[in-house]
Amino acid sequence: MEQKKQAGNSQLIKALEPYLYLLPVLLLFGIFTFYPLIRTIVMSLSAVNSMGIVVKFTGLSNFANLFSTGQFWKDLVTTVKLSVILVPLEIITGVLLALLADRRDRKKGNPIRVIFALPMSVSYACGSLIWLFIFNPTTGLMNHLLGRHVDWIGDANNALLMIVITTCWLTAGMNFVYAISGLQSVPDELYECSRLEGAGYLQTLCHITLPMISPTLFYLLIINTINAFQTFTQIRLMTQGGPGGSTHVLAYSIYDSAFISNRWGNACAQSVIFFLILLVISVLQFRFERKGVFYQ
Amino acid sequence: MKKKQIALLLSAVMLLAGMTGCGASAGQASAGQGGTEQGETAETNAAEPESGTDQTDTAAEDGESRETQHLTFWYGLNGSPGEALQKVIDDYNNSQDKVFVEAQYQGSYEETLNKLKTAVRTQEGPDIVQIYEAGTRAMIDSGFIIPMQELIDEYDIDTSHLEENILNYYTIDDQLYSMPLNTSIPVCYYNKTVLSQIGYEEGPQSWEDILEISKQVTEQGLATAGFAMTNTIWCFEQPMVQEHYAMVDNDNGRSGRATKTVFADGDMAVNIVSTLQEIYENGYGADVGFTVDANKAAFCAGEAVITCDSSGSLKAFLDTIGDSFELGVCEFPPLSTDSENGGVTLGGASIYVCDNGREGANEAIADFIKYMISPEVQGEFSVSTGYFPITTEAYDQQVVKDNFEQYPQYQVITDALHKSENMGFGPLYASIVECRSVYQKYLEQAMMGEITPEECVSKSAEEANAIIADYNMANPVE
Repeated sequence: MEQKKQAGNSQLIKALEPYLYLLPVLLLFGIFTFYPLIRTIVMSLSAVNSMGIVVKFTGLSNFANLFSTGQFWKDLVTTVKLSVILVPLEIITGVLLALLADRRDRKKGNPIRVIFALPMSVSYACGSLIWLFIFNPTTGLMNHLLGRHVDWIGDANNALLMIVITTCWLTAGMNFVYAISGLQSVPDELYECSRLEGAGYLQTLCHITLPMISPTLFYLLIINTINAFQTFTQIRLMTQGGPGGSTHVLAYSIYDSAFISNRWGNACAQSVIFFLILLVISVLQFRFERKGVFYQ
Repeated sequence: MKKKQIALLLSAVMLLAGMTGCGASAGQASAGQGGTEQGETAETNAAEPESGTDQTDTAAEDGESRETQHLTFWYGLNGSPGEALQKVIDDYNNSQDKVFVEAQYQGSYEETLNKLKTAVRTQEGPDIVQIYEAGTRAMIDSGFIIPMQELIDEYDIDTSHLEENILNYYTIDDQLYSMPLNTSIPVCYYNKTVLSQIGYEEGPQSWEDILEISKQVTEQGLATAGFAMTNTIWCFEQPMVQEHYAMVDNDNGRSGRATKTVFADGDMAVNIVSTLQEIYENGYGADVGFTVDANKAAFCAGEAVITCDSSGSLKAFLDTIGDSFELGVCEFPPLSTDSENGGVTLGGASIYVCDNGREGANEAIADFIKYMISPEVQGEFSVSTGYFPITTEAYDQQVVKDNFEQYPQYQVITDALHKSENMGFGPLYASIVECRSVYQKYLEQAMMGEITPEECVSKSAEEANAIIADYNMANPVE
């Protein structure tokens, strides 16, 4: 009898053991991811006063308000515009730098690699401020080098371009590191083969290098797209969404609604839509992956 | 196939993680807030023994038990104004042992207001707090403050020597809700060296003058531009205040809560936007965008000759410009010389008393307020920060007199303050911060020539109405 009970206990412990190990992770995820997520959804469906207290359930009226003002659609278009320009540029920058630094000698501590990866070590906030100084129309380095007066902050298109250039630089380090690790994993035999067959540099690049690193490129595509959609720090520090709302992207709009205007319901509704958009993008990207990506 | 499923799952998890960064704003804010508060409580506790020792000392000396009241004061001034505030508070703490004020910097004005809202929910708010002028209606609506008037009446705080114009701004329904602390007004700065050459030594007297001056300086090549736009919102709002033209209903939100905007009803707003647009259409505006710092830089570098900015910037302008040209200051110009001009409204911040229900706290707060509005403190604070003293008696202080003698520009801005009778007509509505960002956006579009002044005004009004309605719905009057 006693033995049987003990056996039952140890069985119970065995059954619970894995959950015990999971507990810390589940707790962290629960507190910092799932609870805020659920609360965001609840608040998006309610009238929330400026203190952040839910006043009453209002159904989809926050969403209806959002869709009826032109602002949301404009912000969405700005976000998409920024991403479409930014993502290819970021990947091209990363791959170009990687091609330049890839000497296939596998030598550790190549100084060029360190220099190319350096932007990674600069925080977005510091980087944005440095570039803001560079782009200052009156005293900045950029106009001095160009030798002409370009209004980087006051012109709608230039301001967007300024954000693109800054972000490109900020993410160059990360893109470079991923791209070069992809390049290093391409087997030497393939290059030897192509040399023997008499392929030129471009042919090798298009038919061997790029297809071989396509999983890396695909990963960069997803990461960069999501990052581009979440562009915030640069906007907050450099343009505050201006001029005339031309850099007012969704992530900044959420911050604006929540923390400057205290329209929590509105901000939460935007967050939920933002989440859905990102979800759709990554599902779509995985669909298209089948066609273009070559896994070894 | 399996690999793909795993990858999909992973990316979904990553998305979720990314989502928390943006989506969890509300929930996380309160979580983060909790952390800060705990830190603050720890600080408060750490400071407590100190005052505790004071208390025992006093008790030993006086032979009676007297308690030191510990007050927490949140403020939103950084840099040298923040240091100046800290100094006058330190002086207060050292001068007596009944009250100990612990001043805590809480970030920008917006951040202070946001932190206050979360702190009040968890009953960990401060006893007194400095809030900017745009937060006036939000504070009154919040229900967690004690109107300053109650303390004034109960503890006989003498307000007779305070600047009436400034008090008027913070007075709603004959009640003073908060005690002004730092006040500035919009004024017009100009490059006197250049403007003297074309006969405008006194600066522009109207926006028509600004256009005319800009035309002359750009044509004669005296500067690359005429006007530097440092504060778009003030350029839009102040001419309306000058002409007693309401922006929102219920007497500019002063006789009751605003329910909608009314500035689009007449043609005043359109005229203002047309003027601003004309400046940029003709290339009279400094083409450095609409950010404050870039425009200030353009003015200080002599690229533009006129700018409208806060009177609080005077010291910084004097320091930056140095000897490169003579800085002139004049009143904020009205739209045209023959329009009526009741003066401008103010910017800056005031002190609110939070209702924490603590026994004896109000008496301590009243004592602190009396100290803060004394001529000595106001004189010192004003000279070191560039804000106006809120008491007229501060002008008799030697430091203030010396400062006026050294920089006669201070006399000009002080006179402008005293002339501004319409200060008590400054628009008050809880969504003012958000509405201002709407105005800013459309004004910039108008100045870039993307929309007409009429479109700018009607779109601004429409969007602001929606925001105000949204606020009134979510924050019903109790």
